Amino acid sequence: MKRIKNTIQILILLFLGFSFPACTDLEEEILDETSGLELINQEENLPSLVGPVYAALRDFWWRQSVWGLQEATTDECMFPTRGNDWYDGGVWVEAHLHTWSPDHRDVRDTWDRISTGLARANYVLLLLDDFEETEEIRLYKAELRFFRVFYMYYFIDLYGQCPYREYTETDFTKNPQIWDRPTTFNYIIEQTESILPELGDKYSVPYGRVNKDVARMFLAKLFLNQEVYTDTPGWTECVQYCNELINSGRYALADDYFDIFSVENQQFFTDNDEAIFVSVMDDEQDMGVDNNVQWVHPTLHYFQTLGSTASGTNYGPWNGCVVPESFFNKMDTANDLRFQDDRIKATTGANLGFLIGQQYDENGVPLTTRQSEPLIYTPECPLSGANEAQGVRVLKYEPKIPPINQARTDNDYVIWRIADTYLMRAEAQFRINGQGLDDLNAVRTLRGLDPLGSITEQAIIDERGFELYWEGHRRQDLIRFGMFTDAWTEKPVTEATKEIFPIPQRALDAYNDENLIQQNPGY
Amino acid sequence: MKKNVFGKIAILLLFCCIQLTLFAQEREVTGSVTDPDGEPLPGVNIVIKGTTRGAITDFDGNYTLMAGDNDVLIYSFIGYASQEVTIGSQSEINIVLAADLMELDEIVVTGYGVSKKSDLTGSLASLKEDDFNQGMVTSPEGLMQGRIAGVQITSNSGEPGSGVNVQIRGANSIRSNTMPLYVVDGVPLDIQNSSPDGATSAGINTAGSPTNPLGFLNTNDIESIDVLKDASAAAIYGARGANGVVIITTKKGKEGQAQVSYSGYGTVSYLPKKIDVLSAEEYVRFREDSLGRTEDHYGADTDWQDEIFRTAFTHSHNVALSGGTSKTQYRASFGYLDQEGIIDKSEMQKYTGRLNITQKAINDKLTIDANLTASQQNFKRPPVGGRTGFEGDLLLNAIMANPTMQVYTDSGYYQTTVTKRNPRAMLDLIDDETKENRILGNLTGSLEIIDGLIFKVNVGMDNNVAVRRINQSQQLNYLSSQGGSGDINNKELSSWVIENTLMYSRSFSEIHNISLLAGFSYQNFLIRGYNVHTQGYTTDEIQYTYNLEGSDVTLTSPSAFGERNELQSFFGRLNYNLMEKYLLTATFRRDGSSKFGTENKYGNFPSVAFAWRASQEDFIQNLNVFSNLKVRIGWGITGNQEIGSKHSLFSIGTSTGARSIMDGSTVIPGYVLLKTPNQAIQWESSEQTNIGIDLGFFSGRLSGTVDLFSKKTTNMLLETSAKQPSPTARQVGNINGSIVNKGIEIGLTGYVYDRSDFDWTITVNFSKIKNTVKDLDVTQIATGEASGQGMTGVTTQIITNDEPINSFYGRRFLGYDEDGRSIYQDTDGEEGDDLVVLGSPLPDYTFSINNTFVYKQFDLSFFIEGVQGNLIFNNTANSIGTVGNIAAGNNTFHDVITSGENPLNEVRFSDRFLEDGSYIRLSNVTLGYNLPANNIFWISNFRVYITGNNLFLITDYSGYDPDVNTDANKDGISSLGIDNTNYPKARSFTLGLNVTF
Repeated sequence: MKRIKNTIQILILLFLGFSFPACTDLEEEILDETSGLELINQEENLPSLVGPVYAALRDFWWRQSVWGLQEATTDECMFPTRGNDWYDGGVWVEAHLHTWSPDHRDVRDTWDRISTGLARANYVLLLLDDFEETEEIRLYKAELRFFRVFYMYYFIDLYGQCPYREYTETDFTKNPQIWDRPTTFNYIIEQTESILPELGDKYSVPYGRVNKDVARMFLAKLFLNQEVYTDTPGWTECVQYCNELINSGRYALADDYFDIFSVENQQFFTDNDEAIFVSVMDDEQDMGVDNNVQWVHPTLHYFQTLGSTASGTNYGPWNGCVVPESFFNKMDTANDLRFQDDRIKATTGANLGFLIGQQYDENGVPLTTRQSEPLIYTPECPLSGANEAQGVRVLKYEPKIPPINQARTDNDYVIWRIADTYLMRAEAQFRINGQGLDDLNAVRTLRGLDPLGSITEQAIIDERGFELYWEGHRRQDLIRFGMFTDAWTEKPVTEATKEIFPIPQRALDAYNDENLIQQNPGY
Repeated sequence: MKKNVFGKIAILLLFCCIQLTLFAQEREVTGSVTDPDGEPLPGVNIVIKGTTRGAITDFDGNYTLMAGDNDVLIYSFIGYASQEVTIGSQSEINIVLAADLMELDEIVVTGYGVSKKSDLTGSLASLKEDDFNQGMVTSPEGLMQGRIAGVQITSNSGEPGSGVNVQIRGANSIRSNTMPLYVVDGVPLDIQNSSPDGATSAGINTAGSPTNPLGFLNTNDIESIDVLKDASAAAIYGARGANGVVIITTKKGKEGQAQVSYSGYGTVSYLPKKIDVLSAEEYVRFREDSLGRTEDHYGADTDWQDEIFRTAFTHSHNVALSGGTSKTQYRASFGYLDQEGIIDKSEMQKYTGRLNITQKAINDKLTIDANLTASQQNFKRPPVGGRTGFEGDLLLNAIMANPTMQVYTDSGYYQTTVTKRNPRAMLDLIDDETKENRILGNLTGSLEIIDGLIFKVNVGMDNNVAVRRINQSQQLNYLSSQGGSGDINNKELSSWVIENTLMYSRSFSEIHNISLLAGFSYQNFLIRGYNVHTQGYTTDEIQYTYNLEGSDVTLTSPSAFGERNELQSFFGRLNYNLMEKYLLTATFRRDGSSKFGTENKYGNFPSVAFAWRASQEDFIQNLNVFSNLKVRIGWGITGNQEIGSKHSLFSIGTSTGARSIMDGSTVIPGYVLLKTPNQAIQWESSEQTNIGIDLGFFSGRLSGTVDLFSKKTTNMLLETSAKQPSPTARQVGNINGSIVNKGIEIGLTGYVYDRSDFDWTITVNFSKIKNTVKDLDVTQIATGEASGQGMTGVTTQIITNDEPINSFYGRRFLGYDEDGRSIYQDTDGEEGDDLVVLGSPLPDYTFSINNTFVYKQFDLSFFIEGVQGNLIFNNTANSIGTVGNIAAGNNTFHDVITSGENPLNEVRFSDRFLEDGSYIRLSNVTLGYNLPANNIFWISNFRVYITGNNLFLITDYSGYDPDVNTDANKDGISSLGIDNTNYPKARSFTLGLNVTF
């Protein structure tokens, strides 16, 4: 009897022991993400799938990304070091002196940002393949295909080489193809021209989204720079696409320059036809670090808080980037409407445009430096070891006072606008047959300057600087004019190889295949 | 009144006495105890088996006690083998105790079983309660710091309840948070950071260092800690054994009379050393005379470090009840700890309850163990640590705040300026509170099915819920415009495990002893949580985190996360012992983890070890030199899978940066691939070979262990750049390359003097490890992110071939030119500064020495530990120690004002702020007094002690303490040896009392 009881107990125990988990197949269960299939079956989620492709672009317009590479390396912008401040491992000095290496922070990180944008366009296209092709889906697909080549354009513009994957590729342990500039350029042109008819028209697609005119402007930009990318100029095609835009009746030069950059510039762009392509910003919600007011707190002196106790992040601005003296001295400060504007002076104590001389707070009291000396911005400013007050500052986008959140902006970022198109046409026309003066003067006269009697190469590049300063075009423009390697205030003549950034070392390490990709010459 | 109390106690005592003596006819038994040389042994414990009664021998080794005929007497004395004697009819019992200095038959805990120390083939270090560090030790790792060769424990911070970094046999992995596996009473713990995120606000990341994942255990409940160091010991834990395994065994009840014990202590602790900065007068003089600056001189003379540090008081009380019969044993304990930090307002309170029950049934063939721990920890954390922007955290501000500023202005409010923070305000106006509740329980049943065959089931669960509430007042000058912030962050970790093992042991022909183990284990983990951030408060009347609806709800940002993963394993072990001379152990474990790709879900982890007990051989015994000689050799492979989840799957989630506006006006969430999937991802593995010798001389008077090992980690799991374009810039994968740790560990114990009433024991540990990175197919991996003004994105360490892991990499600083600007060494003759490897944060060697003296009822021990040859990057000094910093209105060090540096000189990372981190520390001195047993008959053990911790420190390091490791990881790649405003370690004095009734 006792023995039976024992046996039963043993059996119960054994049963308990082994019945719990019979071998499992170790499926990982993810609770906060999904495979995407459930999501994309729901049509109302489509904008949320496509949106991140746009979001990646928003990421380009801050100082450590595309914007920084296109501006801080040129004669119109630099980030001087002030004592300990702004050294940041030498990135800003290297950027301005063209001494960057394949490990330069922003060279490295920008490659990643462009890649992310390109990859998002790829895989969202793949996801959309599962959908029945409605009108809406077709439009999204056209936008996504546009973004694929649009992001590829940034690769060849900055790095001279482009990693390419078919959008159907999902095995990211395999290397992509690596394309050179001409191959990529031709592919982009061919793709964009075939996508253009598929895209929506301005006014029929929502504000901020890619439409036919964005594609036209993109093609104009590509042809404008074709000689740089392929050694063969594309001036005629550039003029053709500029004509399509300028003659469309959908765009006109803005009469008021600073309205373009106002807090409510979205309102402005719906009434007025200056902007062609914008990144839409919103300061009411957190959209990552990328929607900073990029030119308010990096540039203004620590104490220039514009009447807000804590404009910018935390205490106040960071006292960073300035305009090099050589560029500033070219401006017609007496007449050029783009130089200064006093519309926010009463509320903030500061002017829009270029900030120079004694600065005041919102009550008109002169500001001082941390050393209690008058805060007087001066054109002279060394790249290393600048004083607090040295350097002319730029306040192009109107600051919102008080800000809803210090690190956000409501002003939409203008990527392309029609004034650029006019100047592009002037330039292309000039290259074709020495014409283009009318377009140049159309912009100049609107900005308060006297028309020029004749058009020169120097006049075009200078005008592009005055009109488009700190808008993220300068490096590309200078390269096209062969001026990127020239000397200016703080920079000596540099090698032509610096017109292309190095492939980041860590990207080369990741590909780990010398037959596939080599470092650019000169690095 | 007093008399009355006395009377009551007397009655109580009488009652106890009656209780204890009621049962048997008793008579007097006398005798003496001597050692084999005939010398009398005083202080020998004599206990009547099954009771707590007994006696202790006097100076001449004599004793007298009352006992009955059937009683059994147990004679025990440290360093001698215990003896049991049945009284029978004897009235005088004289005993000769044989020396047993080797403790060869000490039982140690191995994975899934126990072993006699003499039978071990692998490298295992065991600490019993007597070996633990004493004084204010609030976590299990603290009990063993410095006590085991090859186990290096560095504090992440001196904050109450903060985590520590435990490295067993060197830095094996590139990723951060590579901790050993902890197993508590058979339950492998999920050592994730259990602390919810902090609130990032205005340049301060109040996350600080994570809390200690073992903090929920009451150190008083721990009976032993066994560390499995080499692969042959750890391979039974396979995929989780690569960083070593720490097995914690809690105290159990013992058969015999019920015992009640109380232990408690009070500790006073304080900051041993302030950072030496300028006085207000020096500050003003230098600024005026040398810099020509007069602004912001407010006339006060404030020592800001004094404003935030305090002398802190800690007290702890533990009560344990234990006892049992031959069938049932139990132990229950309750612990309370209230630890104040030396930074004002920082505090930890801990409540722990623990219950262990053992029940035997079915003729003792079935044993059931139930263990349950419940704990609550409450933290008050200061805004210290983490990554600070140039504005700095509390500590940085306290060191560098303008000494002429007042704490409070004349109007009674905190003095600040537009750009400067007031440290006292930060302390007072930030409230960061975490409440963590943890329950860990397991039930083990083991059944002897037939002789020698034991089946065991272990079911365990572990659940930790932590909620952190952070209020940062809008009254802080830097948060006024955003209206303060309130954060409630929650994190829940839970896991459950089931293990079945079958063990068979048998002897054949007297000389073959075989034991076999086979097992299956399944563990399931869940991690989830949420964070809610709010801001825009208009009133401080109600604490923000009780008034979330009072915030500007349009600025609220919630987030949530969750994942579940599984681990399933099959394992086996063979122990073969031939003639007690030749020992063989072979283990095998096959682990499957849901974290890995379909092709590589399972990994195999074998090990084999052999030992030869040479001292059992006649020819060795005839030498008459060795009392013990054992040679061990072992090899094995262990693994690592701590990489987080979701790396092999294609899946979609949201992130704030992916939000977009698609209709021109509305912000919508964005769904993106948050990881670049890698289906080929597989286990990281470490292959280790160990050769060891255990030695004993002079009848065990001197004993030691020497181990040589070589450990090679390959297939390292790491997040590196993806082959772009890819959904994210980085991808987790296995990188080519290896980390090799080669080292030697020596542990020696000498019984220098052990006669009559005086003992002296010395224990010495030494370890030296050489770390080299090899065959990496990337040029270098950067990590160690610096903090501070002008240091954004600057990395200070690299992982590169033929150098130790985390080598410092930067410029070599040569001094200043005539203009006061830094000159750096030019090594290649070309223009521009050259970056070179500057040295390693890993020490050349570490050592510890413990001395214990016992004189009659007094004992005195002092413990010295040392670390030699490591470099520390003093990031705090980098932020503060420049003329530019004092020019900007911050305080600085004395040597800065005579350095001749130009205020506009740029800070670059160089060896200027690398310092020698070597130190020798008197980390523990304890003087104790044990009341002789039976002096007061109802007390079986009574001890008072006083302990001093961290009493002195010899070091050239200029920061608070060289035992420091601020987390400065970059992209999950760990950093080492960086000090950035670390919460400093305290000096403390403890007065404690242990009583057992």
